[in-house]
Amino acid sequence: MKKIITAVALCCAAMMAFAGCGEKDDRTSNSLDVLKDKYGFQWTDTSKPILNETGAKEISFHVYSSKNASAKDYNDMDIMQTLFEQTNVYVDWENVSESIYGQQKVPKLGNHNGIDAIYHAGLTSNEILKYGVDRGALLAISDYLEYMPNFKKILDSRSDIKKQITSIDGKIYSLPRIEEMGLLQNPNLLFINKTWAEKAVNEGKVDLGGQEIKDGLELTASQMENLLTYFKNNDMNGNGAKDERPLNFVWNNWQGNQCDLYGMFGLNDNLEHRVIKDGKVVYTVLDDAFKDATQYLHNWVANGLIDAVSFEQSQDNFLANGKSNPDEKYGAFYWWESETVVSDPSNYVCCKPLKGPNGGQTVCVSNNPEISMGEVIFFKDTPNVEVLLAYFDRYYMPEISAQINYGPIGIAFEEERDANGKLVAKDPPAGKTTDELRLENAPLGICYLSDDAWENTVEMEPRAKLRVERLEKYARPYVPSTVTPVPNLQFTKEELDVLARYQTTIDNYLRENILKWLRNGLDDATWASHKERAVTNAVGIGEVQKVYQAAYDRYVKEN
Amino acid sequence: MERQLLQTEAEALADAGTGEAQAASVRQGEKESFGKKFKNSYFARNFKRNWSYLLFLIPAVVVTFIFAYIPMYGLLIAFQDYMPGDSILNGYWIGFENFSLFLGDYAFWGLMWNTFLLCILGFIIGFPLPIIVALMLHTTRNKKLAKVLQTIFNGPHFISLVVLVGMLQLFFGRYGLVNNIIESVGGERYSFFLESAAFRPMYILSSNWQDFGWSSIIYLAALSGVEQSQHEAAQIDGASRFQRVLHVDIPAIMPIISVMLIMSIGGLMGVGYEKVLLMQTDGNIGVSEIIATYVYKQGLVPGGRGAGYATAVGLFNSIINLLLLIIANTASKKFSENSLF
Repeated sequence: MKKIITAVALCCAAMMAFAGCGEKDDRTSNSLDVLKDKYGFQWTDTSKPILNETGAKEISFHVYSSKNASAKDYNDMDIMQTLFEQTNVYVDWENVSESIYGQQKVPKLGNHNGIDAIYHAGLTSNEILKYGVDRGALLAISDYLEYMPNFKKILDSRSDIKKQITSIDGKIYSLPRIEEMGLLQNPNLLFINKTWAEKAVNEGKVDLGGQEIKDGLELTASQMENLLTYFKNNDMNGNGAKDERPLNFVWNNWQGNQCDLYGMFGLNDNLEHRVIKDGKVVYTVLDDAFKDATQYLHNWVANGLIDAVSFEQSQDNFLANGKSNPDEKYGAFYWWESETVVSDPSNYVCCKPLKGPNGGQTVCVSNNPEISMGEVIFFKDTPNVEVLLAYFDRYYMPEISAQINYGPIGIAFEEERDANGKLVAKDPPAGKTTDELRLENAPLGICYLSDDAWENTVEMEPRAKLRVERLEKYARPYVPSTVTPVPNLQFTKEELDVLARYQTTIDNYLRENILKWLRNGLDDATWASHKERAVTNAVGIGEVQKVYQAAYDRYVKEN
Repeated sequence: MERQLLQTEAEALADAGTGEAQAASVRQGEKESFGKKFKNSYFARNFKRNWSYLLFLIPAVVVTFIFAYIPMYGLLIAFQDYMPGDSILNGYWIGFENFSLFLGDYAFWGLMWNTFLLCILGFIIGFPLPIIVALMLHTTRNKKLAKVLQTIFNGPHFISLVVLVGMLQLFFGRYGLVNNIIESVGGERYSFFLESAAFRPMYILSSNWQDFGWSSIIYLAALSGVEQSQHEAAQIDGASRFQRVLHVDIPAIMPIISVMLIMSIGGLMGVGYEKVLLMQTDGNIGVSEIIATYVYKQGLVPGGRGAGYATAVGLFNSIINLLLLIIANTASKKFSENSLF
């Protein structure tokens, strides 16, 4: 009897011991004077080490980070070793896979046990507000800007960036990643099958007004309709099967989506259906043009010109069907680029936006920001945090940024610069693609690559360059100057409550109805009742619009 | 018999209680007297005799306690403005606000209705099916065939949900097998995944297809306990095979059926979110948004109302389940001899 009780007690004790275990942090935080005198801490000259040899030995930091599956351990990455040699700041990286990080992120924020910072933290402004302002776990980086000369320079010269990463209490809690190539704002491009279109013209079924079928083709909605109808009704690829899919995209995907179609009616739609127009936050789904567009596009859907598979397929399905060989299936499609979609991209021409029946001709303006806040966060109780901040500040130097983003000199770039002093991309070794090499050797994460960097430090990748060229010709000129994406806005706690309250309802309501209308048609009475209902609290667009407007007004007013 | 035992035990305990009171009034040798009484009590004697059997219970009790009861204190976050990372007793109490938010939500009735319909329809088809299958397998004369069939029926149970939904997409997708057949016989392609009318049948039938064989195992086990002599007696009385199923087999497994019935009614509103979420498209979201998927979106998707609110909704759902269970159990107790508790 006694033995049993002892055994049970022992078991309990063992469990308690497991629950209570944790790392103990024995590092000490030094005052600035000690750091300067003993460890040679300096941050003003960014070409010299931050610490002296003693500092390199005695001061260390522990940074937690997710990494993609093919990346090397960050401790083994050349760029990290280079940084250690340049700065004498020793950072011990703890890498976990992205999926594990997804599960661990929130617990780590609550109880960070010896972790000083999280790299690739991926916090939303909402989470930063919660953990930074509300619960006070995060370090306010803005209090330490003097140790970060490069970052400070960016903030001073770019008030837009500063505004987007500053929380509602006026402080900055995270380091951003800034990679401005101008690729994200207009996510779609329209591509048309050249051979098929030529066939249609040659047979006299479609009149393109004598335009040659090449990049820059401009089609009206009715020309497009005729083309698609022709694709639909004929065995275009000549394989005897009825497998031609006239117009394709992936419904509500972040790129290659349906939004450009609404551009025919002058709407700059996006997945949130929310955009800034003349300084006002507007919802495209409340605009009467949306009704006209839906009614018009319904015909395309009903006649099979837009294959219904576009509404249900995943990106993988879309890409697999595009590559189908040797019989092409796609007459036309919306995507980021044609190269990843079809096996013979030379047979697909990139078109200007379609011109609608009422003369509308514009494209999707997405709210995907090129500045992502929340990339790196620091905990409040990090010892010697000034040193760590000065270290991460180096990431914003152009050449380091380039190496963080693409891979180190010697692997991704040649040792020698070109005549203009720019880094030159190195050919990948046999059997590896540039992408693979990059994923393996570049940690990605925080960097500052903007116009200045593209001009003086590094060339854009060829694929990005091609896309920028296309966007400059076929997308950007068609966006009215009064329309801009909704920037990263900062909300108050009350405002966030309102947003959280309606988000799922609005999302479900719009997802359900927009597709229903497209597939089953939309009459004027339904539209009128939708416009009334959507802004009431039953759906909540009215309230959310107000919140966004208030936050945007604050954004414009600051500075 | 069992009831009698319980009575004696209760008496013994009552005895011990009065003994304690007496001892207290004497105020002398208090501990000894109580100890003696306890040692002689029914409970103690019983324990002494059977402790080795009771020992076998310990793992089950410990596991249930650790994994089912201890985590329950997490339910407290339903009454808090909880943020992951906070300790459970964090002091951000907000009372029943999360519950009133949910009950006042415009989505509330839609969610309840969708969940209820999906579950009740699945129950109507899914409950009798395994019983019928078990009776059929049991009555089959060719035992080898029955074994083969049983194995085949059990197979789908081991397919993971993700794979199952992948299969559904392959078969019922717009360019899937079924649509290819429809088109080849001259019909129009039908988007099973976009039509809200197709969601419930597809969900329920695929779930039942996956699980009817597995669920029939418990009935088969019960059926194998039916005494052969009863069948023989019925045969001598000239009962046909169908009559024997009706009058011998079914009454024999009735207790199991009613226990299973009570349990499945108790889990009626407890459908999981994984499969629904995988099958959800913009086309069917009107019928495929159920409490479980709503909890997922509110609690785990960024921008939702957070863990506290999601927990409150989940707790609400569990309370409905508990009520259903109690109602079913009481009803069953009243109308038949069988009940869970």
